[in-house]
Amino acid sequence: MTGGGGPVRDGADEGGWQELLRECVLFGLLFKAAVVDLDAMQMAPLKLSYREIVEELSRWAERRHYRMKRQLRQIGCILLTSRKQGSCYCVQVRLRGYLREVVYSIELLQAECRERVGLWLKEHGRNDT
Amino acid sequence: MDGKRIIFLADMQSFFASVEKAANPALRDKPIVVAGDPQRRSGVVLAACPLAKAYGVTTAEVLWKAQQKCRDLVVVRPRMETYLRMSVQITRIFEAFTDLVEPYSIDEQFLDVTGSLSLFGDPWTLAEQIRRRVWLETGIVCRVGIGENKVLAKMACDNFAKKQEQGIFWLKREELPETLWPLPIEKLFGVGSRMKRHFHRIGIYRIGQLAAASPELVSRRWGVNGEVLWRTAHGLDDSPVSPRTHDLQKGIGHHMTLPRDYHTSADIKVVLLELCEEVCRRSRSKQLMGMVASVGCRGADFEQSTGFWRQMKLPEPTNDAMTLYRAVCRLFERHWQHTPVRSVGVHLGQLTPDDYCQLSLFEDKTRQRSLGRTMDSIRAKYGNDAILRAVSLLPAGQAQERAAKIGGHYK
Repeated sequence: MTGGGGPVRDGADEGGWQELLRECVLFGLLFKAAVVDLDAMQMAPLKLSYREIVEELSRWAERRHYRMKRQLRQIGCILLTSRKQGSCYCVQVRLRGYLREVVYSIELLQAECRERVGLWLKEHGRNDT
Repeated sequence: MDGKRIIFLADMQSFFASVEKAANPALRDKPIVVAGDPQRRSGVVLAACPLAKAYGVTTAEVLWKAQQKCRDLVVVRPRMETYLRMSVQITRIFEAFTDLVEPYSIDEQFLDVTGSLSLFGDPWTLAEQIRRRVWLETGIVCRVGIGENKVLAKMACDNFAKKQEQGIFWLKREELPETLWPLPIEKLFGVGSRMKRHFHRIGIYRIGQLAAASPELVSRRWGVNGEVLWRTAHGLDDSPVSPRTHDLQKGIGHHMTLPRDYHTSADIKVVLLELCEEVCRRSRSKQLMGMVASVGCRGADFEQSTGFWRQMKLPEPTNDAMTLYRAVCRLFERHWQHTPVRSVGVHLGQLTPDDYCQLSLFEDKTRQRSLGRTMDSIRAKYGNDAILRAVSLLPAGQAQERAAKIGGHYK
């Protein structure tokens, strides 16, 4: 297994799939996290219901995740497994026949997910005005 | 590549501050420092982000001075466990490119990529791939120095890559006269403030002047250290990148900077005992004993060197805290000049396995060893402060507070 290996590619080609994969992973985590949080919110005695907001966020993230997954498949990158390992999140992909592993910091993924939520709120706010 | 090695030195930019920014988007556009406990020793800047450095804030500066330079400075408490985990994650990323990865510090690592070029491309392309992976997977900016050996790679990173937008620099031996030699002598790897003063005394102000000097003159004046520096100026270094370099333990030691000056022998000995406990605990955990005990201390003013560092050979190897403590106290009483002490350290050297021990008619060694192991298992189960010497409860004691820290900083 190679982590950054495979035949030599030029820099732009090599980098493109990595950025796309990261976005795909982020939106995948975001939509799952939103569903889990929704279940947790059901237990809490809240004054108002935020169900629709969180469901809308989850659907938005899920659409983006699957769109990016299709784009990855088009460039020959298949998502195989993703799992938590201690403080890291390990994702295995097959890229043009080569098995690769990408190891993300969980803290970074959480921070980036928060940024994506902010992005969604801004888009939502723009649609309302 | 002419049989030459290709070595990278990868350095993480403002490592602690970068980890904090990656974890908290709200900090990303702000000048931040990671600083020690302001309640003790007035707090010291452990890492400053580039935005803070633009205001003149520097690492190791006292926090209040940094806050004067930048009024909007955000101060973040250190999280040493997180930084260690992040460093290990980065090592794992590097190991995807080569098996020859040698951590040099928590935020710097050497990579020997000579055998990886056929897989990943030329050194520049490989360095860019590494930088991209580290950025995407950890959120940290990495600078890469490239050279045919470790010293060239290190100087490439420290003197050139860090100052460039691209973050990569290849320092070639044949280009040293144009690149490295014009730099001030203190920019040479291995030259600190004291060696800089020695060089200035004989009229050497630039690296090129050292390179032009006679190696015999330099060796005669400073011995093997002089020869090493001359070779470094010429970009010569045969040391391998060794992943197992830290496996061989030559000695075990602990050093502590105290929260205030300690003036009395009684207070200093409390800390010496705590250090002996810690050194022996680590020795036992690695199943080692030491034959040479060393102790040293220093005053608060690091420019004026008060203090000492002395060692002595023990009659037998030991990893028993009280045995080490008695030797350390003997050395301390002999050499301490009664000057205020701000920093103190204990070291155990000439290590051997502890699977045998010479019995004594005058001491119950078996009981000593058993006591040590019992204390170790209590600490392992319930924490480092679960069992302490009674003197650690005195105001001079530091063990309780340090139990919750790594290297003196918050976990």
